[in-house]
Order: sequence, then C-alpha cells, then structure tokens
Amino acid sequence: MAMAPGCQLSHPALLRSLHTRPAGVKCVVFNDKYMTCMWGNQEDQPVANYSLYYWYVPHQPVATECRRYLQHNGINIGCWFDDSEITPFQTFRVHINASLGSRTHVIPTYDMKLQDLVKPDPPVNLTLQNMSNHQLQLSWQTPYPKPHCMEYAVRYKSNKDTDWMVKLLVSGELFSFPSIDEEKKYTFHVRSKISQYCGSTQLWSEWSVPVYWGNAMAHGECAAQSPPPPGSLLPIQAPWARPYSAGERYWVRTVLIPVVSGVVLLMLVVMLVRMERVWIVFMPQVPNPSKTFDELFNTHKGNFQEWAGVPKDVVESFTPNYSESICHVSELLPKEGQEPAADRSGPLPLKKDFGGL
Amino acid sequence: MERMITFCLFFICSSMLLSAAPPSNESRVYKVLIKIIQNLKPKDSGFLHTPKDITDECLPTALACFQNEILQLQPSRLEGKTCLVITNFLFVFKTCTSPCDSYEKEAPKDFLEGFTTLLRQVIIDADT
Repeated sequence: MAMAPGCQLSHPALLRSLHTRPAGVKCVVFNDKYMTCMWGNQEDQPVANYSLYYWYVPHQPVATECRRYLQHNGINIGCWFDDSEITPFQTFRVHINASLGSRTHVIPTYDMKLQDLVKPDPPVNLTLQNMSNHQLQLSWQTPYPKPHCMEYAVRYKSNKDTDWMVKLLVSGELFSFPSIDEEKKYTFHVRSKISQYCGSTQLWSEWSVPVYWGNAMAHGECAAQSPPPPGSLLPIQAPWARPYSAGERYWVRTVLIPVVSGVVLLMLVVMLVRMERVWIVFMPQVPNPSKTFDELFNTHKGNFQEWAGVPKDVVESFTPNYSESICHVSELLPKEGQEPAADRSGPLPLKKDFGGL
Repeated sequence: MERMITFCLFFICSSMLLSAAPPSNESRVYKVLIKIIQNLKPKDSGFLHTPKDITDECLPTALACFQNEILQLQPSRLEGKTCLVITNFLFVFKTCTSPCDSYEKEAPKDFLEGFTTLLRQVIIDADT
C-alpha cells in the first residue's frame, strides 16, 4: 500500500487559495521521452513547500518522491520524470503535499493512465514534391518512436485565403494536394496525435515548422512561424533522454533469441557432422583404384603373379614339363540292315564320341 | 540419435525462417477488433472479470480472459474475430500469477474499455 507521509487539512489561507483554483495535477508525456506533472498556476501560486510522491498501482506500490522538481520563483510547481520512471498501461497515482510551517494540505489528484497522456513532437522534414497534372505531394517524418501509432492533420492556405483548410489523415505520412494554382503561394503545416489504436487522447502535437510552395511574391506573405513549444518553461531538458523501451520482452526478442538459437544450431550441426553414419551419407567413400594398380601396370608390366607376390616355385608348378599327344576318338556308324539304335532294347553299344575331353 | 538431431535442426531452421519472414499484419486484426468493440452497445447488466494493469507476462492470460468473458455479452459480430493467433508471446519466461477470476468484475461498458486498453497495449508494441 502507499506509504505517503501523514497529511492533515489546516491553514485557512492555504486552503482558500487552493480551493479557488482547479484542483489536481496535470501530467503530460512528451514524445515518450519525459513527462511533466504540474500543479496549480505559475503566477499566483501560494508560497508553500510542495512535494510530490508517485507510485503505480498495483505493481510498484511504494511511494517515491519526485527526483527533479520544476520551480518558479523558488517554489516547486511541477515534477520532471525521465523515461525510466514512466510505465504506461499501469495505473499511475500521485500525491502532492503543500506544507507551510507545521501545517500541511493535500492537493487532490486522481488515477492516471499514462498511455492516454502522450503528446508527440511535431512532424519534421516536410517535403513538397511536384507530381504530374498539377498535383502536389507533401511528405514528412515523425520523431515519435512508434510511427504506426500516429494520425495526422494537415493545414494549408494560400496567400489569397483568409482561413486555414484542415484535413485529417488516419495513417501514412503522405498528403496529396489535388490542384495547385501557379499564381498563389501556399503554406503547409502538419501536426500529429496518438491514434485510437494506441491510446485514447486528444493531445495534438504543436504544428510543425511550415513549408512553402509557389513563386508568386504576394503582399505580406511572410507566414508566421509556428509558436515555440510551451515546454520552454522547463529548466531541465535532458539531452540523454531516450524513448522508453517496451520492457524486457523487446530485449529478449531482438538479442537473446537469435543468439541462443544460433549457438544451438551450430552445436547440432557439429554433432551431426561428427557422426560417422551421417557423414558417410554426405561424403561417401568412393574407392579409387588407380593408385592401387599403379605398380602392377608400371613396375611389373602387367605380370599379375609377380605383382601379387606369388613365389617362384608355385608359378613354375603351374607350367607343365611333359607333353601329351592328342588321342582322336570317333564314332562307328551303324551297318546296313541293322535296326536303328532307338528301337533296340538292351544297353546301347559303347560307341560315343567323347570329343576332345 | 541422428534422427533426433536432424529433427531438431529442422525445427530450429524452420522457426528461424518463420521469424525472419516479413512480419504478418497481426496488428491489423487487433485494430479491427478495436473498431468492432467501439461500435458495440452492450446492455447494462451482467458483470464480467476485467483484467487491468496487465504486465508483459500476463498478456496472453488477459487476452484469453477477455475472449472468454466477452462471449457472455453474446455479440455475434465478434465470434469470428476472437480466434486470435498470438505469435509474439512464444517466449515468456515469467509465469503470470493472476488468473482470470482474480480480477474484479466490472460493468460491460468498463469491461469493453479494458479490452480496448489491452488491445492498445499489444498494438503499441507491434512493429506495424
């Protein structure tokens, strides 16, 4: 639970002055980089010692005091938060004490949803391009870290118009101006807002720096610069401010997962390659006999027995050392009058041609 | 053993390919859902568990909770759209300690507001 220091209602003058002004504190998150919470007006702020405590319900319930106060004439009138202290989508609660002497008064506040209090910086790099058929295309960029959350409004007028024409764009950083009049000089401004898909806010950014089109030098055409952003009362503009991260999930997705899966992949590949049964499928051992038989053909000139190392007496034993004459054998043909051999019973006469066996 | 290793390799390679593929337009589904919710006109009765102050690790639980609870409002237009594929919640290392019924019950109007807030929380972190 919140541990704010004890406060009680007291000091009539303080009470009166604080009740006549709108109660509460106004917080604005500027471009997801820093936030200011202001209480009361700056001109007639009653002299008192103001202190702010903040916490998030329910996940960071310990009250923390403001680290950087914003002051006017030595009185604290606001608090400056850097992006590490800003957590959207968690209920944000502040508690402001106003003490004078021994008496203290609490400025009433309410729960806040920081995602609905974002004011983006105005668009930059406005560029005009001449398209075919007298069409003009205006493009720009947004310094907000999440461009997919933006919706825009374009306002323009020529040097002959009295009022601005405002067009709303739900998405995209492009605006086509249908028909340009060559005689006139035009001025364009763009501003941005968090769309309904990322928040529920009516806080538009300031109008961007203008961009002009047209050569006609008309009377008094110096278009007024858009007023400087009202953040100029802030004494501290942190140069180190960075957009607040989306939590550790972003770090996990972008760094941890690729590195871990890369290492695991490498290990598996190495293990697979080292396994003989797999390696042999990719790199089969195709036998190459050329080297084996090199000796046979070159050194021993085709003499297989010499190359094989057959001993000399075995080789000689295969060579015959005697000669044999061929014995011719022929068949005696049956005489006239005798029946053919197939009809006779009894064993056939042993007269067969054995050939060259 | 080799089969297991080969299968693991295949699985890791395909999931790396899937994550390296151009991001699908998942936030388009969430944006359409926001528009549908804003056009709903719920009745005043019937209180529903409404997750709020949702931390990162509780996003899938909260989304499932909203999907289940909204069926009690019986908006027929939502039936096809509630089957959301949540692909970027694959790697959640902390477990969520808040189940659906741990959240308080709110009126349908505040329930739908809470659902819209959750969808915004998801869209804001998406790349597109």
